[in-house]
Amino acid sequence: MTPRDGSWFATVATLLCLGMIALLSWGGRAQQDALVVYCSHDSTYSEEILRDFERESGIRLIVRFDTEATKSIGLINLLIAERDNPQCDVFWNNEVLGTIKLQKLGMLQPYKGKGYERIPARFKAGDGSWTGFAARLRVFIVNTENMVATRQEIYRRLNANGENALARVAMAKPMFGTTLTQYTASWGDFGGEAVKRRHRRQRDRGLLEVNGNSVVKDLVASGRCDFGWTDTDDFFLAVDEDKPVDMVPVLLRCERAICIPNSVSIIRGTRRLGAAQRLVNFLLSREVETRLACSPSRQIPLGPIDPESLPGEVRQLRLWSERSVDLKPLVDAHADCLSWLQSEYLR
Amino acid sequence: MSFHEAFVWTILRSVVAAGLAVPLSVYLSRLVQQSTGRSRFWWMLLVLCPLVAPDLIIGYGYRSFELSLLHRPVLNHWFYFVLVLLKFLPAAAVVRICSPPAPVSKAALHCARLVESRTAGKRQHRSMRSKTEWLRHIPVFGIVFLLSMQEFEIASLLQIPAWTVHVFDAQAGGLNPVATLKLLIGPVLVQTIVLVPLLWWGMTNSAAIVPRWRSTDCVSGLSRWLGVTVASLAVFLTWIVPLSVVTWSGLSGIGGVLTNPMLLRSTFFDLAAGVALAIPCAVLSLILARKVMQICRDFYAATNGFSKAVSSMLLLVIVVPGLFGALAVSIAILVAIQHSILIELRTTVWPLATALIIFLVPRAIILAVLLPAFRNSESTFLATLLSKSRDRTRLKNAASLKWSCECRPMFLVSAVLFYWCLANLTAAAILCPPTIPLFSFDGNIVPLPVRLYKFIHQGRTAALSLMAVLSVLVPFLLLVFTARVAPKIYLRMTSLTGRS
Repeated sequence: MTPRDGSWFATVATLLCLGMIALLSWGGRAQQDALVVYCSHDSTYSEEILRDFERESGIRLIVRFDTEATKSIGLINLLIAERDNPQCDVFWNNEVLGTIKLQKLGMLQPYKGKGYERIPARFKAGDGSWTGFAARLRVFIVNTENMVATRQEIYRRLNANGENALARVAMAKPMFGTTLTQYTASWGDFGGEAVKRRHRRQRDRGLLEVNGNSVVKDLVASGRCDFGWTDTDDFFLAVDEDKPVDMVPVLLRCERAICIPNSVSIIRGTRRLGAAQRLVNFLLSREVETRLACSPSRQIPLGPIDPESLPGEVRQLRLWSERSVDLKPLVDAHADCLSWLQSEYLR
Repeated sequence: MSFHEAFVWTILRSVVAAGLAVPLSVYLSRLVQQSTGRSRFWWMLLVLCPLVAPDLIIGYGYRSFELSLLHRPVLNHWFYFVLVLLKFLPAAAVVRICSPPAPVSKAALHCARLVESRTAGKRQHRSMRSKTEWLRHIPVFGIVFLLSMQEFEIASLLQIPAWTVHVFDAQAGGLNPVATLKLLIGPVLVQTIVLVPLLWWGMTNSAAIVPRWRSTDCVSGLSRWLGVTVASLAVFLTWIVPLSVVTWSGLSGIGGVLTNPMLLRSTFFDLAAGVALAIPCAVLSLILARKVMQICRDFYAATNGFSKAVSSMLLLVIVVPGLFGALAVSIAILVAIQHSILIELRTTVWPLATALIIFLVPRAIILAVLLPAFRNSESTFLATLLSKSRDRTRLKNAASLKWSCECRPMFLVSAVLFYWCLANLTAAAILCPPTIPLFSFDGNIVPLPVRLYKFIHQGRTAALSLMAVLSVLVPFLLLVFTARVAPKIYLRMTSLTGRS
């Protein structure tokens, strides 16, 4: 091959490669009629539900999931960044504080459909901007071979003094996910200063901070830690693996649990309002709540549902969810808490 | 650990790793340099394969083991350090093989030693020797320092404090891109301090940077034994252990995956999307790398200062950004596409493809430098002679020889680049659009490492292990298949066009 041949080959190859990348991008443009859903709920459970909606309704969906490491915050930031040019139509958030933040920014399109009506007032926005469904509880996961799973024993160990008193206690980094929600709920209940003090005290006593609730679950289930904070969905994964674990709900003042519902909302400016409303109604239906309750994650249904159709553990969890903290007034506490945590971890 | 503490830790770790790579790489490079013929290929494979070990498989494979080390952070740090050192040692060996020979030969040093014994000129001998050695250590130290500083995937999965993990989490976790960019200032400055001498070395020696397969140094049995031990340990810890752990766990997941058509389908499409994106990115980075090398040659041929200035500027613009790593490049592109003019690109694969190409260009240059090593000048000359014949059989033989001498090495280099591109998590996680449309499939398609990273954070399952094994096995089989089919297509094409 002469140098001339070589440059000819390079030019053709360059054009072909650029064409290939353009084709991969152009395909995205071709799907502009589809409903775009940002979803921070675990794709293992949510994808099948969304595909069923596609089959039933004939509406095409493009779904963007979050990454487990950064939870829903990544998608919320993306939505805020896209504020002037929204790409998303429906936001299925696996928690609620981020959604309330979007509501405050005026980014959500109110809608009170059939699904909205069946959810209790505590778990939805008064103006219909968002609606909660299928919740999780914040719990202590306890290794029953290492200790007894009682609140007294947990707090006895949590209050113990000594440099490494909490070396066998695990918690996910509080900058993301439901650990952030737990911090926010405590912030609202006990005040920012109390949360900061407790956080620093726990770190000083060797609390193990790890990347995510699933790692907490693994550490406790394997006996490397005695207990830790996690969510009910992770706890039940350990139960299904026949690990020696039990749980104790995390309670705030007045014995209120931290119940974190999924939330669904329509993004203001959507060009597919009808399709978005259909999806919202579908997700808030009794059938979807029952499905999520019977899934390995055992999500707690918030709307009226026949108790007989629910697994035994979920019926028990429902009792806790009925006396849980109202997360709606906590949006300012959420912002303050996150800003403080960023200053702590990104120093 | 705060960002600044993690940053300092990363620097310390990288300095120690780079410092150790300097002597260790000598043993590895000699293993390759002392071998001949076909055995050289196998030694090269042994020495270089840790460099392409998939980070996600390493992190995932050791996840369980790492959890048992969480209570012993010192051990955990050491374990990560050993992994990083062994993974990046091959890069040091490649740089050593391609480095110009020492300006003062061993024979000259020996003469100096003889002279000094008579004239007591010990100081002169030492100064000659240190100058010789230090010049050769700069690139080895620099490359390992940079790679170790930029490591993200393994650190993230093994829960090791590193500035990359902090920046990645901060970016995705709420910090706006400009603030994240500010976090990058410190790490970029530190890397620049190492990059400047590295670039100076590259520019001043570019004509002499070619692989040297023969070393005049005598190799003792001990140093050969050390080389084999380090290379085998690297392969064992970066490939054999993690892949065995993940495969073992994945075998029990076959049934689960086969009964879950959605998981099977999404794995297939994620892989297909990754492949469809990796092919053009790998080819384009190789084309750019060859262009850069051409510019480099012109730089030395140029007689006037203006031409030299233009070519050196071009070189810096094309090569330097990629040397700061995938994280810095991806965040810079993310900040750029926030601008209203470019915002439309966010839903396309252009930002991701751009980041991958920028990231791959410096690596492609290193691989392209190795290309002549595979060429046999006699065979190439014979192929040229044969291709001038009018006889069909001779033409076919010429094409066959040309494939072996020129195209196969190029294919190997492209295959490595393709694999790096396919396995890259950082750029894909930061810049991937909501979905990569493929074959009109409406599901959520993202490059497989992004989905795997998410699932790995959720914990190990048999199905996930199987997906992880497939992410290695399928591209490998695809490359083997292409390696078998490509020569036939090449021969067919050359016989159709009547030239080779």
